[in-house]
Amino acid sequence: MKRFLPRLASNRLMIAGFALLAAGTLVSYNRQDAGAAAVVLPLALLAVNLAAAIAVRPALRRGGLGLFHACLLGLLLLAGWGRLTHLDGRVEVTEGTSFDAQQVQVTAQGPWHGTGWQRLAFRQGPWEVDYAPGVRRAHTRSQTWLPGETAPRMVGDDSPLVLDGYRFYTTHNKGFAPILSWQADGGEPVLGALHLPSYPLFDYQQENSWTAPDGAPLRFWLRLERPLPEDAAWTLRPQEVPAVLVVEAEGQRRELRAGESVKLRGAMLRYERLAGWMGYKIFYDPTLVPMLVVSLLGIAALGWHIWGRTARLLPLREGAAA
Amino acid sequence: MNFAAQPPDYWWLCGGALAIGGAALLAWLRLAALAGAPASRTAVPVALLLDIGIAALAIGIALRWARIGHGPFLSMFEVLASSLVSLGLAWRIAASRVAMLADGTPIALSLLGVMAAWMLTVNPADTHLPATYEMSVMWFHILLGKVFLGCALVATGLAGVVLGRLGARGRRWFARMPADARLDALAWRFMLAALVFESLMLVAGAVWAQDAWGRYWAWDPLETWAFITWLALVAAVHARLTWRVTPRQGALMIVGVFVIAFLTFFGVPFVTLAPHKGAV
Repeated sequence: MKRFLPRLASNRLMIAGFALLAAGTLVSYNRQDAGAAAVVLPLALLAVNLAAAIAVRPALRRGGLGLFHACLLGLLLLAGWGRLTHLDGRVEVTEGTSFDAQQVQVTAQGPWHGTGWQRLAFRQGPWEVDYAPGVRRAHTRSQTWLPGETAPRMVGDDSPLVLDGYRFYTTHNKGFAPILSWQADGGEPVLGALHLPSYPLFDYQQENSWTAPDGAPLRFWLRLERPLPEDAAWTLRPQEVPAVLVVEAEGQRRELRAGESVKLRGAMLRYERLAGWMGYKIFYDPTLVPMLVVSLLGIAALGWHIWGRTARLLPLREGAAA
Repeated sequence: MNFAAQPPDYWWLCGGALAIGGAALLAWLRLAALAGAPASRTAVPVALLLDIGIAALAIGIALRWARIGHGPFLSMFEVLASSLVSLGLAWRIAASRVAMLADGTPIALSLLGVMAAWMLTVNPADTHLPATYEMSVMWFHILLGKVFLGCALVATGLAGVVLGRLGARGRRWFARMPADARLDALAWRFMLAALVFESLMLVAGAVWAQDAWGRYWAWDPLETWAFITWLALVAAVHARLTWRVTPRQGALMIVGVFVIAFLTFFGVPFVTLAPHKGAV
C-alpha cells in the first residue's frame, strides 16, 4: 500500500485525469448516447488521485492549499451525493386546483431519491406574464397558496416556490383552462377544467376534446377575440382574455360565453369562466447550499494561498526578484 | 446597413474601437522604431490613445444603455464593446502597477485590436434583455469573468514577449524587458489570479443559472467550454508546478489557455441557441 499510494497520488495521473475529463466532457456534449460514465469515471479517478495526494503530501494538508484541496474533494463527493439523491420533474397545475403529485412527470431522478415530493401541497392561484414587443416573454408572477397561510407566495422563473427543498419554477409552458360544469339530468353538477395547449406557443391550436361521463364525445375550441399583440408590450392574464368557447357535440356547433350553458342529450354543460394553467419545473438537490458553501470556502482558501505570491506584484519594483 | 440611421452611441463605440486599433498599430510602430529608447518616451502616446478609446467606448456603452434600457450583455457587438473596455482597463491598471509590462503593450493591444476590428464588422442591432438576465448575481458573474480574462490577457502579453524573443527581431524589440525567467514567473502569478477569478465566475454563474433556468449546471455549450477552460488552466498550473517547464513552454501553455478562454467567451455563446444565450 505504501508503494501504491504515491503512484495513485502522482501529478502525472492527475494531468491524465484532467485530460480524460476534458475529453469525456466533449464526448458527452457531442454525443447524447455517450452516457454519464464519460464524465463520472474521470471525476472518480481525480477524486481518488486527490484523496491519495492529500494523504501522501503534507503540503496538501496545510494552510490555504490544504483547505482548497479538501474543499475540492468535498465538492466531488457532494456532486456525487447530489446525483444519487436529486430529482428533476415538471407538472402543470390549473388555477383554483391543488398540486397533484400524481401529475408530476419525473424527467430525472437519483436512485436514492425518496418519495418526499408526494407529500407536497399548494394551491394554484391566478398568474400573469409580461411580454415585451415581439412576443418576448418577460416576468411571470404566479400566485400559490400554501396550507395554513393567509397570503399567497409569488413564484416566477427566477423566484422559486421552495417546499421541503423542492424548488418549483414557472416556465414558458402555460395556457388557458376553461372551467366547465357537467350536470346529468337529475344529478349533481361536476366541475372540471379543460386543459388547452400552451399559449401563445400554440396560438392557433387552442382546442381539445373530452368524453363526458355519459360517454358522449365533445370537442372544444377556444376562439380568442383579440389577436396576439405582436408589436406592443402586453400582459397575459387568462381571466381577462376575451374569448368564446366553441363546443361541438351531437353533430352541432355552439358558441358559449362565460356563464352560458348548452343543453345536451341527458345533461347540461355550462361554461363557468376562463382560467389558466401553469407549468412548473421541479428541481431537488439537497447538496445545493453545501456545494455553494464548500465552493466559496475552497476558492477563499486558494486566494489565501496564492495571495502571498500575487501581493508582491503590487507594486513590483524593477530589479526585484520575481 | 444604413449608416446614416445609426444612433450617436454607435459612432462613439466605433470611434473607441478605431482608437484602440490605432493604439495597437502605434504600439508596434513605436516599438520597432524606438527599440532601446527610455520607456517613458515610447509608452505615453500609446497609453493616451488607449485611454481615449476606452473612454469613447464607455460613453458609447452608457448612451446605448440609456437608449435601449439594458447593459451590453447580449449581442456580439455589445459583448465585444464591453470587453474592449474591461480588457483595456485591466491592461492599463496592470501596466501602471508593474512597469516592466510597458514594452509588452503591443502584444496585448494586438489582441484588443483584433477584437476592435471584429466589433466593427458585426451587426450592431438593438437587443432585448430576457427576464433571466435581470438578476443581480449575473453582474458578479460577468464582472468576475472580465477580471479573469483581464488577468489572462496580461499573462498572455508577457507570454507573447517570451515567444516573440524566439526571433532576432523580437529579441531586439523586447531587449529592454527582463529575462524570460522573470517574465515567466510574473505571467504565472497572473495565471494564478486568473484561476481564482475563473473559479469564482463559475460559482457565480451556477448561482445565476439555478434561479434563471432552474438548474445550476446542465452542460450547455457555454458551461461545457467554461469548465474546459478551467480544466486547461488547472492542468497548466499543475504542469508548471510539477515539471521543469521552460519559459517558452510555459508561454505556450499560457497562450493555449488564453485561446480556449477567448473562444469560450466570444465564440461559443454566438454559435448556439442553447439556454445560456438567454432564449426563453
